[in-house]
Amino acid sequence: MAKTKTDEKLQKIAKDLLESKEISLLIGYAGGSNPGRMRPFFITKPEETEKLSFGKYAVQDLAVFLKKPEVKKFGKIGIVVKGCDEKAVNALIQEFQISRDDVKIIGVECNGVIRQNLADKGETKVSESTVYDKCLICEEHTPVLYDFIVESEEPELAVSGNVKPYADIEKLEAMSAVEKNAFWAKEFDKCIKCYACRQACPLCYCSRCIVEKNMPQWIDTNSEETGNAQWNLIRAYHLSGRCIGCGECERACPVNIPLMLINEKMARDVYKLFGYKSGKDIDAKPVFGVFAESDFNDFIK
Amino acid sequence: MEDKDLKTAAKTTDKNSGDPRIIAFVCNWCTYNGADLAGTSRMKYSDNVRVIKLPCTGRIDPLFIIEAFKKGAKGVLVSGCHPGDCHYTSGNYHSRRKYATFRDLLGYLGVDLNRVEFSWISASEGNKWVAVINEFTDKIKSLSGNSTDIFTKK
Amino acid sequence: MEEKFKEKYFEISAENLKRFINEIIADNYEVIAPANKDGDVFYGRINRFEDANLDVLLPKMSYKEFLLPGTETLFEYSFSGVETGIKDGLEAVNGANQKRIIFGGRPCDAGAGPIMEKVFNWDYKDEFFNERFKNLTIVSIACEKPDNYCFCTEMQLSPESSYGSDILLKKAGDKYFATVTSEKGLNLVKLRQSLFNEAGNDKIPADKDWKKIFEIEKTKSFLDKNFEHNYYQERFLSCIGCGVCTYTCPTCHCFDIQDEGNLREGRRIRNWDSCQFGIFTLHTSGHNPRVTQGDRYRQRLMHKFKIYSEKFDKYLCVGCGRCSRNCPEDIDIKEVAKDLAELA
Repeated sequence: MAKTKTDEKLQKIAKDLLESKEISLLIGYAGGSNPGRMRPFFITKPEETEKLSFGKYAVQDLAVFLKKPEVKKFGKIGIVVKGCDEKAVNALIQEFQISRDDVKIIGVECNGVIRQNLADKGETKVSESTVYDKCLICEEHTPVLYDFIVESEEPELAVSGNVKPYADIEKLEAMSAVEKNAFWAKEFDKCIKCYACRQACPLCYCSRCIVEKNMPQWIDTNSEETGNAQWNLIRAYHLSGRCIGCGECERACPVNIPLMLINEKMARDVYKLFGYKSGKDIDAKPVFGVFAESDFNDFIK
Repeated sequence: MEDKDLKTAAKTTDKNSGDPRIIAFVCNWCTYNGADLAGTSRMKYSDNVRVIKLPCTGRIDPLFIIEAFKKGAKGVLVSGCHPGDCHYTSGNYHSRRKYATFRDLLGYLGVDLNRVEFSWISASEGNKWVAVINEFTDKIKSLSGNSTDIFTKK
Repeated sequence: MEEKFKEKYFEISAENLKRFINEIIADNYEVIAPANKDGDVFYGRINRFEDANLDVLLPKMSYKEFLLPGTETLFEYSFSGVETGIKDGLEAVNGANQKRIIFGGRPCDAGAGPIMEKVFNWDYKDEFFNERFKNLTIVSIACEKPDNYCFCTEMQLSPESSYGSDILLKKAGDKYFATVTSEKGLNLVKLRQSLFNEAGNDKIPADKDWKKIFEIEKTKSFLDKNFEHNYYQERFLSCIGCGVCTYTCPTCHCFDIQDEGNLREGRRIRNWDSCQFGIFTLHTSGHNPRVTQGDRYRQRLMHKFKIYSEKFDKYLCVGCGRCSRNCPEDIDIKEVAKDLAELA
């Protein structure tokens, strides 16, 4: 694949950072196992930066690696991030999981990434109908925080409004409790409890997840009706007001549960209730770490 | 049906008089004392409720609600000090944020929101406790058979 | 030792195959086939032949759940006064799969069954697995066009292998040639014998000459010699330990025993588990022998390509490539196995 200007710029930044020893590890993207895929790429030596690349197939949220102990060991880390992924870095800083000083953020301007299942089938065009829903509501084509920025060569994503992102949320909101229940029962029935949603999430960083605690066993371990509902509920609750909407959980899910319908709904609700959006500002206090006397009180007798 | 059978049936009903079961998670400083006041004042309230005392509403993790439903409760009440009255200054404010969100999530996933209730009841509000419990019990009793939750097998 | 079944050969027109499937569905057989769902293809129960998607190479998940369910009740208990009740979970499994047919899977998926059977009958005979495996009838269709993630040929199978299938269908124009390899398969044919025509072995189209891109023995010899190697730690830095590889794998069979219940009633279950989870090897003391994801991925490679084959003479991998296709971080096991073969 021919090197694009974006790639060249990325490589230069990465090379300089590694050569000057400002960072000891760089996490970026490189070509993947088929022409429609990219993969996370870890670089420790300046000469390896040649493979570094970025493009419309760079679906992964690399911020997920910042929670790995193996990665943390490297100390100062450079990371290539899209706008959505960068919010995860911010949230991690907000929650004191990483220090701003330890991470060099190389932001890339992004105009949408192609859904992986479509790219695997050969889709090459970035358009309203081929990108993820998150791209259609994206407010951060350019990351909100960065040390370096690389402009995109892709044309801006044209949004006609014909494709409604997360359209099912409104449909669900209009349903009765019984109908909603039936909808989610059907979705959760597919769950196989692999916990890929948790592992793929940059903000699920607990060293011991609640499902792994068994004294007491809060969440049933079975992958049947009860265990699945409990798991999916508590996962969504723990991410309410924290999820930055990268959609990695849904992409990783091997059985296609529409997890973003829950995450996005909770993000909207939290914004409506408390005016807070996650990952926008590293100096903001996490929404459940603070309160206001004037908070929503209508549901309490 | 013979008389004997009827008697047995009545007996069973007696034994199940606690149905539908309601679990109330209350804070140590306000609502528990409110309920205590109701008791010492010899006020009567529905015996469907079982009270679980915790230090503060801030300590009442949403997992407790899930656990109560898992174990077969038909309704769950969370109750604590009025805003501004928290023994620990701000536990109830934090709790309010959590529960505003958690309640939305429950509703979105198809749990009948009539089955969860929240209230602020102070140590001097014995009558409010009685009213809240009785109203909630009536509400739970009036729910039809297809009142939904996602924690028990269908 | 059972007498070895002598393979039988038939041919059946595409039209008759459709009739056959529709008629056995009408006879209350549960036919599980690749079917479109949520924008992808999964194995699922079909109500008529047309619901099956036979064009797709492989469904996203394997049909392992019909041999080893995600959650299986081993027994249930209850106390009432001084009475203790125990219900064997096997009761519910008896006869399971008797009228269940996997139709339209591929030779790789079919190969997984007999490979897993070995470990489930090694020292302890797993009655649950055996009961399900014994009765499940598998009708596979040979692949015409494997994709870049496939490597069954390297894994001692082939896109046209009949290993593990009760019936293997090979498409030739508008008809299929059927190789029946077991009594179970023959019984299925007998349900509608008139739709099949007996054919001689010589009529079955010869297998193509499938090329290998690496030698699995070389991969194994690397693993034999290198328990510690930088490759694991560097290559699998990008592994997030999601376990999708193991959960979608047709041969991964690790499970975890759990108890659910209270003083009055409860049950013991077994759930799928994965060596990719940090908690998988965590000791009570807090010590974890597999510290990094590199250690955990190495375990997967070792189990698949070394340990299992030493013990059971078969690699614990059929080369379906699901772990590569489904990996969210694009770790391609074929590429890894090839790398290791080259490093050996």
